Amino acid sequence: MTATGAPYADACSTEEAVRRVQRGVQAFLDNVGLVLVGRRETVTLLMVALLCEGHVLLEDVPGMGKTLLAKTAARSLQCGFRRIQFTPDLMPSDVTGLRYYNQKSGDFVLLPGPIMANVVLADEINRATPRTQSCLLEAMQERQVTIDNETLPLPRPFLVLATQNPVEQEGTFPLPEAQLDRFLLRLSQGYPSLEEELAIVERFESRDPLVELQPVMSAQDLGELAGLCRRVMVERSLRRYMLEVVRATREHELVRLGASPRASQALFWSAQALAAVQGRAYVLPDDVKRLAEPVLAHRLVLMPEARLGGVDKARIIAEILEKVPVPVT
Amino acid sequence: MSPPDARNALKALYGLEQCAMTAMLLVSLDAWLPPPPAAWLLWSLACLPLTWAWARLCLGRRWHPAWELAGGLALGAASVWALWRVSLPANPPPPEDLLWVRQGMILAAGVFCWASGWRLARVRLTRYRVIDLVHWTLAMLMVLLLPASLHGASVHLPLGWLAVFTLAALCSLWLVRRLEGPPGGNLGRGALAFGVALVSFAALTAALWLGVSRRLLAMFAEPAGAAAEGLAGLGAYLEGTVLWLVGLLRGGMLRGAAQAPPPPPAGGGGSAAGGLLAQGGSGMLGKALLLGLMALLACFLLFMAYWTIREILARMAASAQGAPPAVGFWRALCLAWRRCLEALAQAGRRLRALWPGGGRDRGQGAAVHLYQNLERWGQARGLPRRPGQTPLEHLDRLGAAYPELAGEMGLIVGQFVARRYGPDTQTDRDAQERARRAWRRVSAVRLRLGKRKPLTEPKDDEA
Repeated sequence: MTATGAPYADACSTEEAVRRVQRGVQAFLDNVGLVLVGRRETVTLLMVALLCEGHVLLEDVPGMGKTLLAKTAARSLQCGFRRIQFTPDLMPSDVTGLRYYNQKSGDFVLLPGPIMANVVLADEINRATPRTQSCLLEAMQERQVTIDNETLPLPRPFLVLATQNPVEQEGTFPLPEAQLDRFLLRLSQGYPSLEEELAIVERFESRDPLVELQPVMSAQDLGELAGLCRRVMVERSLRRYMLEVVRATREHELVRLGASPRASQALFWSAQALAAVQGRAYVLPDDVKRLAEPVLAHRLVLMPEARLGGVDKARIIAEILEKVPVPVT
Repeated sequence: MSPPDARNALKALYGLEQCAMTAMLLVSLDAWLPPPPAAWLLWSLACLPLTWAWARLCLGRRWHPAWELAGGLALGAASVWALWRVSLPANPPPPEDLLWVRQGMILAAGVFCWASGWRLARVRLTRYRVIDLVHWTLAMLMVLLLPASLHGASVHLPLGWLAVFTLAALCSLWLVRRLEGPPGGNLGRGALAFGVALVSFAALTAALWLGVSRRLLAMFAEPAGAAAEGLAGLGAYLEGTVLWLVGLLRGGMLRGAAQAPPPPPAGGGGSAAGGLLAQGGSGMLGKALLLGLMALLACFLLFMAYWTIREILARMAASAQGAPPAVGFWRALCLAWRRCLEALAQAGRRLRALWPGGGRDRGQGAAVHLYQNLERWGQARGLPRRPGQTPLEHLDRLGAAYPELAGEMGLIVGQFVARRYGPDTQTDRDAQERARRAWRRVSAVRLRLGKRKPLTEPKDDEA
């Protein structure tokens, strides 16, 4: 334990559990804040994904600090971290690992791939071919890989932090819907403000703060905090509200493929985690609305006319949120 | 008309009138206390069996003073129990306790109804009516002015109502004098007197409603509340009039003493007063039920009228601010019906809360109720909560329009969301009290006719 104190006790109340989560998350946020300037919202949502053991797709234009964010988050966690630079010539076995024939011993030996880690940074994931991208499907959902008919479990927690550049189209392969659906959240940071940019320049002027960054949370801590988040209360009418929002994406006229039941689960878990991160033992409709876009938008497949018309997925989600009545009375 | 008949008719009239006055008193209290006029409906429902029992025992064949005494003692014990829960010394007293005072007053009014029948047999009617008038004046002063002064609320509201009640009581006194005349007194003159009282009351109500006295009007929570109070009071008098006339017709009073059927045999219970309704036949229970149904219907219609007027005024206020109309007329009607049903449900919760140990969800009910008040308050100012808007988003909107009240509104909304979406734990009384105080500060910002506060809401929020 580095930041979260005593081991988890089943007997503690939900309020106490939530306070523990909040303390742990605060330590993580402060640690990440030593490297990253601003980006509080993105880092908070990243923490939500970590607490749900969900994968995150960081989507932004080049130079926005996607990789730095992923590396800082991974460094703050005391667990196995590997980085995979996705390129067009990357093979699935380069990711998952392979068995090779050892001439000295005379038998096949397993060479684990970089995916055998707690946190995997899949940098520029859309530069790999669909074949290589697809090798992540099993790992992301079932937390296991199959090499030569042998299924190997991945270490827990297992998180994929993928980055991609939404602007560059040359030499990239869009992620398949099945893989997009496996990402819990899609986060986008946007440009920093003038003051933030100035602070970035000054912070990295003489040294790289990432080098000195110390972990504040172990994999075990993260697992415990994730377990505590499951105790956050979601009132029954709010559960229905979440499902109504998800179902509304399927019925929208501009959406060809709406959010899946997996998205409903993702919304539910991430709302619990967000409430716990904020020190609340219950979920509010505001949590659902705040998470709706990061959880749902990347799972939607728009109609061709909507794509051609430049309709934004975020706008569709906002429209749905405005229409679906919030359970109040 | 024989004197006993007139006396019995007046007994019925007094009981009903007192019920109506208690109801109006409750509505007056509701104008500035958190609970809505649902209490009016609740009281109307509650007074039905009381009225029936009173009429049955005072005017029926089985009337006996001991029954009144037992009933009075039972109601008195209930009052003591209700008042025992009150802890007034805190300054300001907790509003929840004030509710108990009110409930105690309801029961005390019941005791008074019973006791009045007892006293009526012993004193002259005119003298009784004077005692009655003094009694009610003191009671209203106690119930209205004491909490008002403790809460720092304006005393003009109860004083205004006191003036109305006094005038109505004086007119009623004149009616009594007319009816108390020699045998065969003129019923038409009595009815005329009562009609005058009714018209005077209606005129005063209309004056309040239409804002002839702006100063008085401004003392109500809002114009719709004043209108509703006026309508409720008017309805109560109408109800009393109808019941009284029905009682006269059914009781054979118009047929005269000479044509009246013989009194019931002594074995059927010594009726000291003769029994007005008993002369009408054996269907006493059916008649009482009929009257009860009529009263219930009147209450329901009045309550609907109240909510309709509220919605329409809210719509007018919103359109005056340039905002799109929140609801149309028919939508307002539908909302009024829905609110009636909600009020019935709320009345049920209140009844449960009266039961020892049955008030576990009162904290939650109070939090929800305060938030609903805030929602209506915002709606009346052209800032309704959209269906897709969360309470906290609505709070941001209200806070932007009324920054000086943002803290108070935040307290109310915070308590509501914790109760609505959080685990159902026991309510912190201090938090409840803080929220109630916050609501009183918010509701003190009144919507004045012709002097509405300009909204400073950002335009992009409306988009």
